Amino acid sequence: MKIDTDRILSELYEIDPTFREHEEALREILSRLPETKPNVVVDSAFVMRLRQELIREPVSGFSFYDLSTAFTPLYAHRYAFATLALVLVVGGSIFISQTGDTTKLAISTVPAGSFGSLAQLSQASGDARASAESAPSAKSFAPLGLGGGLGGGAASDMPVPNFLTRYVYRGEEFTIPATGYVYKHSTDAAAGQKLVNALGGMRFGVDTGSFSSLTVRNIEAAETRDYGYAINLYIPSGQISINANWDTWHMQERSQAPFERSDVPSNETVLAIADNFFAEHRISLEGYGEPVIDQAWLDMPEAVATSGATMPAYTPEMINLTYPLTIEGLPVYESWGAPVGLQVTVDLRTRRVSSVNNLTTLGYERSEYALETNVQKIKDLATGGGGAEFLKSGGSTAELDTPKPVLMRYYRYANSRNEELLVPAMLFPIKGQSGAVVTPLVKDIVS
Amino acid sequence: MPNQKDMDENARVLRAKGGDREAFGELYDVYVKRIYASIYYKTHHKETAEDLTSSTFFKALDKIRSFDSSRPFAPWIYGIARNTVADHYRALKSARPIEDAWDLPDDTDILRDTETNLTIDTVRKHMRDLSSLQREIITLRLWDGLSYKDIAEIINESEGNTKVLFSRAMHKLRSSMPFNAFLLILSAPNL
Repeated sequence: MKIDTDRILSELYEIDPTFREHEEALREILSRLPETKPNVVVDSAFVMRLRQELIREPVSGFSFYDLSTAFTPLYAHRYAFATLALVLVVGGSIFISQTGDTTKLAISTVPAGSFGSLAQLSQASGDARASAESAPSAKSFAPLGLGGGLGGGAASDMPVPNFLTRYVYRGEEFTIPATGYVYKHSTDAAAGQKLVNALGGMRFGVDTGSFSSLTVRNIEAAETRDYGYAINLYIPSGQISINANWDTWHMQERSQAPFERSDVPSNETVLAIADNFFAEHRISLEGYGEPVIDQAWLDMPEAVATSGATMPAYTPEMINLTYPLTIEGLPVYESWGAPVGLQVTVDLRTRRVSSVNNLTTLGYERSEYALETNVQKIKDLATGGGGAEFLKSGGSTAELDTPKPVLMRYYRYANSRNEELLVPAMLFPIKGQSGAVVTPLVKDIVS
Repeated sequence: MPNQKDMDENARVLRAKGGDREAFGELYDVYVKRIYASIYYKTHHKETAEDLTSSTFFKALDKIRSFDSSRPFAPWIYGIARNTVADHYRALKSARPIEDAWDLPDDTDILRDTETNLTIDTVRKHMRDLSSLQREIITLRLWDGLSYKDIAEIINESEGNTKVLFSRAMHKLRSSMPFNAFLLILSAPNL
């Protein structure tokens, strides 16, 4: 890989003239870049095999080859569309009939401690220290696309590293109850199996009964109309996502048309677009709170003229909204402080919703667990005690305000599947900033 | 003015649009390794990269007839690969948004591919602070050598915004760590 150093530098200087101050170092970096590219070796047998499959002529009527692609519909051959429609109808009806009304909040109580010990939650789920250490500490906090991110249609997540900040508690005194409910998301684990059973009578060119423990996990279908959508059903977790089928969204015209900051619609307009989408597709928002709109792009500077060059202002073409999930009056947060909920992206050029994610069934079991009532212990956890390194060369101090009770989401891998748990926690707002520190309260976890 | 290479590619695209499978195979020959590498950077797993590469080219085959041949082919096929990877990670159940293997809490897949664990912790910590989009722009520009215009088309952004995003990503890397670590991040093998 050969790099045209002068050209890259010239491009960087045009974007941001301050890079000139580091020209010597940049030249050295660029000269060493060829060594940094990963040595990716492609299996030649794989390459040849795939090529043969691609150039093989399609056969008429149904065939195993065609129908083997039927469950990944974005490249489904035309013969498979009818099958897909049938799968979606059958799958959807089983999915809904087994899980009840998918958008209604339903909570059942089980005996205390029914979910076992929570003391061994994995790193993937987030432990007590991680929840304190990973919390963002500056305006650039951008959980799940909220605040501080660069937007642009991607979920930005750019917290300032916690090792730069020390927290101090400056809120009021508070108390913690002795017990609280832990919630476990419940889904119908057998739904996928039932779907396979229902399809067993269809002739796919393969006998599904000859495979043991077969279960459908994923169904996806896409609209081919103008500004169509692709809908994905992930059956094991009961999750639905809706995304633009970009091939139908006239992307060519889009990339050529200018889009300025003045073209960005108001928050009211963005909210109306999202509300209309939910109404049109009869998506219930029961269980979700008032939406929060990503405003981080407003923190970015307008176009800046520096030494004769102008760095253009960032103008988002997508805006993210979060409808926070609320369980029995308690909002739900991730361990790093981002609200959990329905994620909606609005495409600002077309003024349409381009994606809806985390739409899920809202069935939960709740079980009582003992909470840590030592307030000082919780404060220490929140202020980062237990491992966060404080840089000697820098670092700042941020103040935590009086916490409010919330639920914090954990995942636990058990019985060959991921279980979603919501545990009682305290959310400590960071004074003067948009971020927060979330600390679990369950004694098993804190201990 | 299009060069000979562009003209040859355009000819293949036109033949493929007309149903010539061998022409599509020729396009495949040109792009398969680049697309595989692009997917591998995000997944760091051979079998997953092969599956997603396969999906990418089947999708491209299905859509080639509707492809606008006045546009360059590279951003189009890269865009399909990108969406395929995104769909793959979207289907995973996770406590946080996962857009590539860098977002996975388990380091196993990435560590498997590194020769130097000494630098990976430093590298990983700061690369994780970037968004998936920022990491992607850096690899597409500096490793794949794609133009800002092509990258813009792949990521559905304007060319101007793409340059801004690239610049901000570079600034973020430099400002979030000591300068010698910044050199490490661009010099670390198998990053």
